[in-house]
Amino acid sequence: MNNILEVRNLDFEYYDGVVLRNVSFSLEKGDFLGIIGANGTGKSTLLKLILGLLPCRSEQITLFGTDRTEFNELSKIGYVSQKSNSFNSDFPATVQEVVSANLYSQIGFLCRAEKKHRVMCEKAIAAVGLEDCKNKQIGKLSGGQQQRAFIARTLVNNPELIILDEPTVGVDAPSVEVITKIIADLNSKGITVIMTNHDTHSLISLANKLLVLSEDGCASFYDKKKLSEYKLTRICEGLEGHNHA
Amino acid sequence: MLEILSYGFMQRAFLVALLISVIAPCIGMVIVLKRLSNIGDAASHSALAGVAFGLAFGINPIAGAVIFAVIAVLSIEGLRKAFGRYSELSTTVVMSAGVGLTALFSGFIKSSGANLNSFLFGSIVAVSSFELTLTVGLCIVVFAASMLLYKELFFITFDEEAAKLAGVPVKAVNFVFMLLTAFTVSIASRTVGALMISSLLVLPVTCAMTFSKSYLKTLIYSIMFALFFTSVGLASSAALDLKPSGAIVIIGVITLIVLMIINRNKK
Repeated sequence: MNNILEVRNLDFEYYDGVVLRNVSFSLEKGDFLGIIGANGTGKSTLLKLILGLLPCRSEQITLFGTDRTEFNELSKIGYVSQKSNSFNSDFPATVQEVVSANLYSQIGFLCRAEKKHRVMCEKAIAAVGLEDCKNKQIGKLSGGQQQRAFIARTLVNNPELIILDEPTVGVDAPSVEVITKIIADLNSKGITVIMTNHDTHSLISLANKLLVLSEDGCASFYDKKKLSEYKLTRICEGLEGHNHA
Repeated sequence: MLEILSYGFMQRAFLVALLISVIAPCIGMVIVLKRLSNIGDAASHSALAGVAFGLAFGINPIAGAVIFAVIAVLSIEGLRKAFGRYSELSTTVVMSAGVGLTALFSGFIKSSGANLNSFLFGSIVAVSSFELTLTVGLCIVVFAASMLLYKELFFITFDEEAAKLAGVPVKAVNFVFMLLTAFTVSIASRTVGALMISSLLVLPVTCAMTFSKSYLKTLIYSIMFALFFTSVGLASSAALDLKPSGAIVIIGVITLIVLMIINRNKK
């Protein structure tokens, strides 16, 4: 199965207006999609629609060949949200506890974790280089370490698609470099990546496909290798998109 | 000192207090970490309304407490969504309703008010065999459910959105947890007191959080703190002729203050 994600004529509106209008694109195994757009253009909304956190009509989104509304192979998808949205830094939880929690779909309802699950957890923590921090309280780690822990949480299920919403926001420069390298390495191993990032230059350098969202809800989808340097520069500078096409 | 344990009522008091000390932190952990500490107050005040209703209209007061507490916690959950950004108002509204109904129903109680008063501050040293059986049963149910739902409750409490994405039945687990909270609060109101139970939910967890780094250890330390508060509280109340529930809570508050001072000096 090479077709990982297909989005067809996707529309979405909140009570106060249209956010996405007729968005279409598809991704194959190993693709890296960078989603670019100003604040309020629907980047996070699009991610939530793909994840099923917001409702969509059937046949608008297909994941791994299955309609989003019927898709239930949850461990195939990893999601790293903007940590500030969902994370209480005083919460007493170690990195290991946070990472192993995401093994839920493999362990099952009311069941206990087994040795193999602990091994999977250790492996995921090692993949982001946090072995020394596994028993530390997650809220006491640096912003970069916390975000690496959240990446480990998604890796614990060996996902085929990873969705990252601004993974480097509020993270110091050296950590941004480490996180970017981890994401690039995962993609080079064949994991499909969808990412939004405030740093458009970095996102364009990582991605092979680009989706530019404009304020009127429309989207332009590009294959990077087919783009001229001129067009790439215009995208990078926010001058290219549906409004400017 | 050990002489007091030779009395049957004191043995029952210790057993009930120790059992509630084990289950209160299991519920309190989630309540504190979800920043819903007021939910204990709202549920216990509503339980009190149920007690008053029971005493006024000839229904078993504990059954009344359970029914009113269940309605209260489910209302809180419903109102939280209705109030949107002001979701914390839901607990205040439900607590106000509980206090108001208690006042209304108390006017219909024909006997003296002594019975209702015993539910305000508990009557831990006057626990009957029926209440002991009820408490033991409740404690087994709450403890077993908390342990079975341990990883689900942890995941939902830490990151509800991620838990939903991982396939955790968030609504069902939250519903069961709210029921467990209502049962714990209403039964414990009889023994520890409606005005005291929320302290027993919150204080042990708050103490454990001053130094614990992991969720599991925080839960274990919380149970140990609760056991410490209740056993020392009961023993000191027997030795110094104090109100047991008051002694338990005050020992909890003193312990928390000491831990906070130690923590501050460390920094």
